[in-house]
Order: sequence, then structure tokens, then C-alpha cells
Amino acid sequence: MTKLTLRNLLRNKRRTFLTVGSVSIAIFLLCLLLTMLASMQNTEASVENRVVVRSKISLTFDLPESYWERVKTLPHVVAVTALNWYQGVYIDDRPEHFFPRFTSDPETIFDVFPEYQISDAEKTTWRAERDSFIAGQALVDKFGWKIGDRIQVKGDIYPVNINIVLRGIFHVPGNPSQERQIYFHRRYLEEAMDNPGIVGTYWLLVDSPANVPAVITAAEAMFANSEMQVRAETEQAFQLSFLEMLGNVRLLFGAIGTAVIISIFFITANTMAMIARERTTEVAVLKTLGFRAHHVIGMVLGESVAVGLAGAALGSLLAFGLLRMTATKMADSYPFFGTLKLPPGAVALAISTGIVVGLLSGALPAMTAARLRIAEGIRRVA
Amino acid sequence: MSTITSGAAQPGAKSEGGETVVSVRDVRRVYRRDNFDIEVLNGIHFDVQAGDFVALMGPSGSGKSTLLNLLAGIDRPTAGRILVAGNDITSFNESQLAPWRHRHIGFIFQFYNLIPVLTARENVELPLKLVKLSKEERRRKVETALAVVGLQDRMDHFPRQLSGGQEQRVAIARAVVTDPTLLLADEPTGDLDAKSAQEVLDLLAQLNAEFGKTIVMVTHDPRAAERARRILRLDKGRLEE
Amino acid sequence: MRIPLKYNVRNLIERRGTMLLTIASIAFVVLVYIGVLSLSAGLDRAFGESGDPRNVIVLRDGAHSETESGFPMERHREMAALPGVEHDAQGNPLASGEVLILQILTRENGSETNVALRGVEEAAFGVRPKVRIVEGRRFEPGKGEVIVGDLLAKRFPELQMGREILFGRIHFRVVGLFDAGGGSFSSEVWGAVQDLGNAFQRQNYCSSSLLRTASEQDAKALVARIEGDQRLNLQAQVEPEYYKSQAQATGTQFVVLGTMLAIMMAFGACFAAANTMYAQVAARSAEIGTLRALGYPRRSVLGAFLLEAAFLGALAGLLGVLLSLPLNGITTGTTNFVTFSEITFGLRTSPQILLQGVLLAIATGILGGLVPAWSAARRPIATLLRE
Repeated sequence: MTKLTLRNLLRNKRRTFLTVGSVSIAIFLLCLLLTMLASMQNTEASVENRVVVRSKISLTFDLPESYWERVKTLPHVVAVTALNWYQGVYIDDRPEHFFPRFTSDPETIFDVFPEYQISDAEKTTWRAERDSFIAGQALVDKFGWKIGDRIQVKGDIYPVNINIVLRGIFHVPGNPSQERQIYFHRRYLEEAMDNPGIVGTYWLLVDSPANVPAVITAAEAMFANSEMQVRAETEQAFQLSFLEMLGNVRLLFGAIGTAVIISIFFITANTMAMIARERTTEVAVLKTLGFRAHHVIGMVLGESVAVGLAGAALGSLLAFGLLRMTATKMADSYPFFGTLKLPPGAVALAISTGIVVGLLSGALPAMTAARLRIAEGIRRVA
Repeated sequence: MSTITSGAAQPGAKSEGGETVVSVRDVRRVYRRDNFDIEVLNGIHFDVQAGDFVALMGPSGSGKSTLLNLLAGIDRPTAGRILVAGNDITSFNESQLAPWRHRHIGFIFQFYNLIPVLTARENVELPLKLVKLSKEERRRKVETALAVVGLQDRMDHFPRQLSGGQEQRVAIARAVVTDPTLLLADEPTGDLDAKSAQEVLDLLAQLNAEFGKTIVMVTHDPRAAERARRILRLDKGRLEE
Repeated sequence: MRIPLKYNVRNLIERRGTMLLTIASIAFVVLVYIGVLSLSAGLDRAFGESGDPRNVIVLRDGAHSETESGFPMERHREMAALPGVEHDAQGNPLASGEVLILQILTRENGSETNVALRGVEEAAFGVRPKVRIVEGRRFEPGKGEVIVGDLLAKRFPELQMGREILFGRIHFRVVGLFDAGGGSFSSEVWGAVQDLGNAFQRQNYCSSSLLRTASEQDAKALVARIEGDQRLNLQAQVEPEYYKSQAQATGTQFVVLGTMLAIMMAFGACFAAANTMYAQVAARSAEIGTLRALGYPRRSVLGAFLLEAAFLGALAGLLGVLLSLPLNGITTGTTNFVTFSEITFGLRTSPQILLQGVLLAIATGILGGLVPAWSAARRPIATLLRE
């Protein structure tokens, strides 16, 4: 039976090619959508036992410095550091010149971000020089910076420009997207602004993931009656909140994904219907030879599933290939692309979609063929 | 009636001799199937005069239809020359053949080949759409042609509403409506019952005898061949007379 | 020379069953495409409605938006006193010093986002004549009252009429809803600048200064004057330009991604169209051979099948348009990436967009049908007749 199915598909190579082609394009799109969705969620990047504390009102409000000592006293909190989003404009507004620029506390930052690897010597130098900064290896590679280089960034949120010198390069093994940012001294900015105590967010390291919910509750309760109330959340939730701002992205992607799958279905069903029409005589002949209904059904479904499967395999392969290529070529100008990876579930989903769509689109022709009365089939001219 | 006839012969005259309409010289036709060469015609050589009615007979596979296709310019010989209506069609390219074919050839197929979505009248009109004629003139020609084949009362029927014999007669009307130099018929009665076959053959004979149309007909049916004036036999790609 | 149109049309009707599935797959592509364009058009309109060419917006130098900008209220008083600024009937300058604050609120579907709270002066309504109260009344300064943009009220349960809500450290009551013509203000909450400033401890401070002039030229002149004064450390723009850059930042990615998506889906559908047209050609090879034997030139056969492919596409386009009609007017929200605040907008399907959808479908049909039509035209007649 399989041999017959395969031969049949090869009979009209062009038609098979066109159908497999269109299915593979649709599956390719599906894979890309899944990749986009997964990358936005980026659960791998976040560490499970870090908590972010920020103003309850919105990220545009700072927290008092006095909260620092208080937060350190929370049970299960092992280390605390402060980060502030400086932003500014480096060279110009073009996307390839954008990267995160934070002010930080050099003494405590590595306690909360132990995965940042940097030599002790560079750490010391950075800590000592107030107008210096550290940058991730990936960023240094991209701009061709060397230790001792100076950069200028024009202020936008903070109406002061900064002029800082590179004193350290850090690596984040396994997570190169984290290397595309710089950290400099919070005191440097505060002096320039003549405004001490600017804390955008506090980052807490908790002793174990199990204690994170307790820390969150405790942190929010601690400042419930203070001037500036806080919101605490896991690092992952913090990152997801940016995605949520885009609106109902999941719904949008879901809707597009559904439209794509429906399209595939129609395309495959179209081909199966064409094939079925052509084959009525053949099916009748097979039946006279003694083949039973289930043989015939198997043959038709076999063809449609084969087409769906081939398309799914080809489409996922294309997606994989494209993502590999963009990751290497385009990651420099558009760091976002560097993070894109085909999520593990995607290929499985693609293959099963191919199979299911194949089954569904072959169902009707298969039933018709199974029920075909021999005499009718012989008499019918396509 | 005079709108259909022209040129070659006057109504009622038996014509033979006069100009040569078809001239086939040393024609070979070889097909290539995968890696095999199949020689269908080899060294075909004959003439057809104006007003002639030739039957081409032979067993299946002898190349009769192939020869007919070559005369119509629908196919090209591998070697040799073919002159029809004074033109060496073997030297024509496709864009020259199309208008030439339209002017000089009327083709009648075994399976009628009417366009299913067009009515009888519209089918007959098809060839006329290729020339500049007023709507009125077209209508007249179509109606005359359908009258000659005796189907005026079925003009607005679709092919599926006609019997086999009627369909073939519409096809004949379509073939003569442009008043072509040469009528080529490929097994015109092959798919018909005895009675319809008779009607079609009568029609062809009438077209030849009364209107002086030159006809080359391929057939394997001896009774059909009888109605022709001349029989040529093809066997294994060669001609015997 | 052309094969009669009725040949094509009647064939399409005869064989509509086989075409249906292909038409459906192309229709879905059209649906996605129209959806994307409507999204972008809705965003464009939202931003487009926001800018009045007679208005000038002043921000701190270097800031990309009101969210990043901030300066003392005194600066605004200076701006208001500049020549070129229009005055109302009472002689007060049509100038509003406004403070923009972002606060997290929850949408009705449970997701959270930053909403823009705008503290305005009395003159704000004069500077923005398009804004009208549609329910309730204006807020009175000093009373802890706010009004909410109608689009916002629809999607944020906390912002309904009559509700009390905590902003910063003060409770406010929603006393009215306003319509801003669908512009980005329709996604904002407005209150008195002193009240909101107090609530967030940003007293005597504003994010922007909004100035109304008598005409477009006056606006441009005022911009030049402010920009030209180095001492001020401020930048000025005509309002529509300010919003245009936001529109581009927010909307461009949707359009680019969406169009790429639609084009790729269209390729897939092209293949389906090609399949169908090939089947048509195969089923009708005797007819095609006959037409060519009758003397119809190859180009008329090519033309006939391309026409059928185009018809196929057009029908698919119409189906896609029909499917997309419910999309029009659906309100949704996203984040304005420049101000970092919520912008609610409605999808807008215009006749041009629908036409673009149909054209895409026709192009898909023709592209898919190109090779089959070509093959129909070029196959040797004898082969066609044999099939």
C-alpha cells in the first residue's frame, strides 16, 4: 500500500510539489510565529530566584533610597542592588545604536547577578573610577570597543549627557542577549543631576525559588503605608509585563496562527479533492480486484498525510535554517534577532499540524472513495 | 448558399484535376518516447487535387491521424515537405501557422471537440470571431452553416443536449463556416451509431459533390471509405494506393 | 482575436466547485492582509487626529516625548507670554502647561499597562477645540475630579463614570467622559494640573507646554522662535509632527511584519491557485487544442487562462473582504512606544484597504495561474488533442 501511495504522489510531481510547497510555506510561518511568541516570553533569560521591586504607580516613578536598608531586612533576601534605566541616545536614534544603559551600584550588583563573569582586576578598576562603565562582550564585539575607550551618550529622560570610559567587559555564558548592555555608576548620574538617591528599581536575590512568593508579599506589605507604595514581582513577570503592554499579543498571534492553519487545510483539501476526482476509475478497478474499503481509505489518507507531513518537515527545516542565518548575520544590527530560536515544542507542533491537516483534508475524499460503487466508478469519466 | 462556396468549384460541378491543393513530399515523422525512437511515417508522398475526396485507411497505429495532423499544420514532420493551398507549411512557425490554418483548414474530430459551455450557434461562430466581420454577417454565416447541416432548430442547444450525430454535424458546420480550402476529417464516424454515421457521411459527400469541398478523411471503416472518391492505404508508416 | 469572454465566465461557473477551496485559501490571506492594514490605519488615525497644525508643543530639549520631558511651570508662563500665542475672548492666552504621568491600570481582559494621566490648565479645552464632553461634565479644579477619554472608559473597568480611583496619594472621582475625535487623548485621563501634580508630588512642574496660534504659519514661526533661543533649553514642534513620529514608531512594525506575513501567505495560496489552474488546463486540453487548431493564436489562449485566474483571484478577494467586515471598528489597545503609554484605537477598514485586499487576491491568482496558462498556450496542438 505504501508503495502505491508513494508512486501515486510521484505520478503528478508538479502537483505534489506545489501542494507540499504551499503547506511548507504555511508551516514555516507558523514556526516563525511560535518563535516570536517564545522569544518574547524568554523564560530562559530570567533567573528563578530574583525579584524586582518598583513603584506601584509605574516605572516612570523612582523609589526612595531609604528603602534600600529596609528591603535588606526582609527574610530570605540574600542580596540587594539598585538599577536605573538611563536610556539616552548613543550616536543617533537608529535601532542599531540602541542598547540598554543602566546606572548601578558597582559594590552590590554582582551579588544579585552572579552569572555575570568579569575579572577581579576589571571589577576593582570599575569600582574605583566613578566615570567608568562595564559592557557585555557581545556589545564590545559589535562596536569594536577596547578597554580605555570613552563614549558619550546624550541625555533624554535625564537632561544630562554622560561621558564614560570602558573599564570592564563581562560575559554571561549561555545568555548572550544579556551581554548587550552597559552599567555605569549611579553616583555619576546623581552628581550630574545634582540629585542624590535616584533608584529606579531594586533587585533582590532570594535564597531559594520556593521563598520567592513570600518575599513578594512581604515587600509589598512593608511599604503599603509609605509615601511610595511598591510592586514586587519575579524577574520573569517583570519581563512579561512589557509584552503585555503590546496588547493582546497572544490573541493576535493566535488569530494569525489559526488563519494560517485554516489556509493550509484548504490548500491540502483542494489537492485531495482534485486527486480524488481523477482516481474514481482507478479506485473502482482496485475494488474489482478485491481491495476493501479500508484499503482504499488508507491509500487516500496515506497520500494526504504524506503531503502534510512532507510540508511540515520542509517548513520547519526552512524556519530553522532562516533563524540560524539571521541569528548569525543580523544579530549585530538588530540584537532582537540574536535571541530568536525555534522553541522545542514548535517542531513537534508543526509535524502534528501537518498530520492532522492531512487527515482532515483527506477524510472526505477517502469516505467518498470507500463508498464508491464499482459500476459507478467504471462508468464515470473525469 | 453562395456565401459558403467560393473559389474552387461551382455548385453541381464534379471537379477533379485542376489545381493541386495538397502536395506531400518524402515526409517522415519520428517520435521520441523516453529513449526510444518510434517511426510513425516514412517516405510519404502524394498529392490531392481540388475537389477531391480522399479516404486514408489503415490499421490502428499506422499513422493516419498523424498524417492528417501534419496536413493541418497541427504537427511538424521530422523530414520532408508539405505544401497545402500553395504554402510550404513545413517552413512556417507557429505564429504563421495559426492564421493560415484558420483561413485554409476545416478540421472535424472523432470526438467532435465542441466547447461544452458554448451553444451550437456559439460553437459554429468561434472561428468567425478571428476575422473582422460585423455581427450581422457573422450571424448569417452561422445560420447558413447550421442550415446546411440541418440543425437550424437546435442552434441554442448546448452540446450535452445534442445526440452524438447532432454534435458531429455542428462540428462540421463549424469546420465549413469559414469556407476553408481543405476539410480534414479524423474518424468522423468513429463514435457514432450506424444511422448517425450515415447522416454524417451523406453530409460530407454532399459538401464534396455539391459545393466542391476538397476532403481528406481518415477512417478504418470500409463503408465510410466507400463514400470517398479515392482510397489511400497506410501500413506501418508507408503508403500504398 | 480574443477568445469570447463568455467562454471564461461560463467555465468558471461550471467548475465553481473545484475552485471553491482555492478561493477560500486566498480569501484567508486577504483577511489577514486587510486586518493588518486596518490595524495600521486605525493607529494612524488615532495619531493623526491628535495633532492640530495650529498648535505648538514645547518639550525639554533632548526628550523624545512628554513622558521624558519636564521643566518648571515658570518656563511655561514664559512660553504663554510669547508673541504669536492666541488669546481667548477674555484675553487669557490659549496655552496649557500640562503634566503627564503614567500609572499602571488593568484592562478589562486582565492585562496591565501604563495609562496616561494628564494634568491640564483651564485653557486646555480652548487649545484643543476638538475635545468635547459626551457624558457628565468637566472637572472642577481642587475638587479631586477627573474626566476620562471615551475609548479608555470602554476598556478599563476602573475608569467608568462615577467611579473613585486612587491616583498617587489622592482619591479622584470620574465626573465626565470626553471625546477627542479618536485621537490619542481619547486614551487619557484628564484632571487639573495642580490636583494631579499634588497627587504625585510634582507641583509647579510640567511635562509640556501646549500653545495655540492663529494659523499654521504662525505656528511654524513660533517654533522657529523657541528653537532659535539657546538659553531656553527647550524644543518646539508643530503638534502634528510630534504625533507623526510616534505613529511611525508604534505603527511601522505592525505594518512591516503584517505585510511580510500576508505576502508569504499569498505565496502559499499562489501554489494552490497554480494547482487548480493546472487541473483546469488538464481537464480542458481537448478544448484548448481545438481552439488552437481553429486558429486562435497562442496569446489568446494565454490571455483567456490568465483572465480566469484573475477572476478566481477577484472572487477570492471579495470573499476575503466579506470575511473582514466584522473587523471594522473593533477597538483594541497597544502601547505607544514613544510615550510608553496606552493608546486605544479602533481598526479602520477603508474602501482603499478593501481594494488593496482584492488586488492582492487578483495578483495571487494571476501569479499562480501564470505558468499553467503559459503551458496551455505552448503545448503542441497534437499533444493537447490527444489527451
